[in-house]
Amino acid sequence: MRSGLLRPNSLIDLKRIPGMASIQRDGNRLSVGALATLKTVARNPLVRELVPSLAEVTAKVGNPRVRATGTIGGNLCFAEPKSDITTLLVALDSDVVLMSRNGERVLPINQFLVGPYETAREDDEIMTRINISPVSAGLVFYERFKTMERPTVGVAVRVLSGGRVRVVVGAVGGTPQSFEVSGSGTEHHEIVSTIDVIPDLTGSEGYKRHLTEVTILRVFQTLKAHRETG
Amino acid sequence: MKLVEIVTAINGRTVERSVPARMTLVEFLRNEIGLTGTKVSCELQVCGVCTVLVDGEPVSSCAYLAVDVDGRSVLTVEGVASRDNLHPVQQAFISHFAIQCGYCTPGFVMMTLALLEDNKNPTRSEVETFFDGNICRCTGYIPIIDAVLDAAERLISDRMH
Repeated sequence: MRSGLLRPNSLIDLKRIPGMASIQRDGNRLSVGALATLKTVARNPLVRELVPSLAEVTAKVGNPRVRATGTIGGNLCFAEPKSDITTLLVALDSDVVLMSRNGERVLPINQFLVGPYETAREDDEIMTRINISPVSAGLVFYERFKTMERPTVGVAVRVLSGGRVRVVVGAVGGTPQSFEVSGSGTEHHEIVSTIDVIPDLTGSEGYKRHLTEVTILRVFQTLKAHRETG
Repeated sequence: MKLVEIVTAINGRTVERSVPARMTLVEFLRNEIGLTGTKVSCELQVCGVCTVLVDGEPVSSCAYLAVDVDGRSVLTVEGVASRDNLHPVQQAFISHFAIQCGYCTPGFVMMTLALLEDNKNPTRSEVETFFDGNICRCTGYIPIIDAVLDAAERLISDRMH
């Protein structure tokens, strides 16, 4: 629109719709309004209590201006491949709520994220809420490798019940790529050779596979250290 | 495209205008209002030269619509000094030679105001992280960080007296 390529007749401002930015409990889940800014999410006491990893990750997205004006719903609907938040939300159990004149529908996050910059949102739908089951601080870890403004690779690791582990690799492919493994720490080779990798200015395919392996190992080290200190 | 009527307070003065919905805040400030202290460079929020404060929050005015300041207050670099004196942040930037070409300076000053409003006594590391989204090609950043830490001290000391 700024370059004059898109010339809509009208713009509709969603930002002042009451309730779209609220953060509250929904049963035992955390419900975050799609229009909550990243800064608000990062500092919100309920987020810090129920899903502290979300507070930590949103606090580091972009820069302070991006966090003061950018919203969590905007981040998800844009579906930028190099999003920290989409990678984390795929690791957590999260759904998005989409609303249209025909009513509401709820989609799990990995069904919502279809491809790079592509989501399952229809043109006549708006995202209203993101719902996340509580996950305590010791059960999910996120690390990234970043040299420019966006991460080159981001890895979220979540401990599931029964000791299995979900590993989500983000930023290197078009969407976050999720794997469930035993947690013994030997499956990273398989993950690294299976993932889709898009080479770009931040690295060749081989380099990004290498960075992914290192980042996975680092997260597992953090997880192990956390387990050992109880 | 439709024109939208907005009412906003810019540097304390109420302004009423009709603007195209697609106009960015920086275009509005520079071209409509004539406040050219706010600069344009990357147009994708990574450089910080377009920073203004909207209701106290730091905003990339190149990526923000003018219509979104309706009912809100805007502070630009032109509104930082009082009538008679430079602001302590501006004074600190001068004392530390934190300005060379000056192009990035308005953005750094506005971001410093946002930082010190939120965190009155930041560590050096916190300052460095905060300015992740501001680029300077001239100074090498160290004088800027020194100026910000000095400004924090000046403001704390001003409040005590």
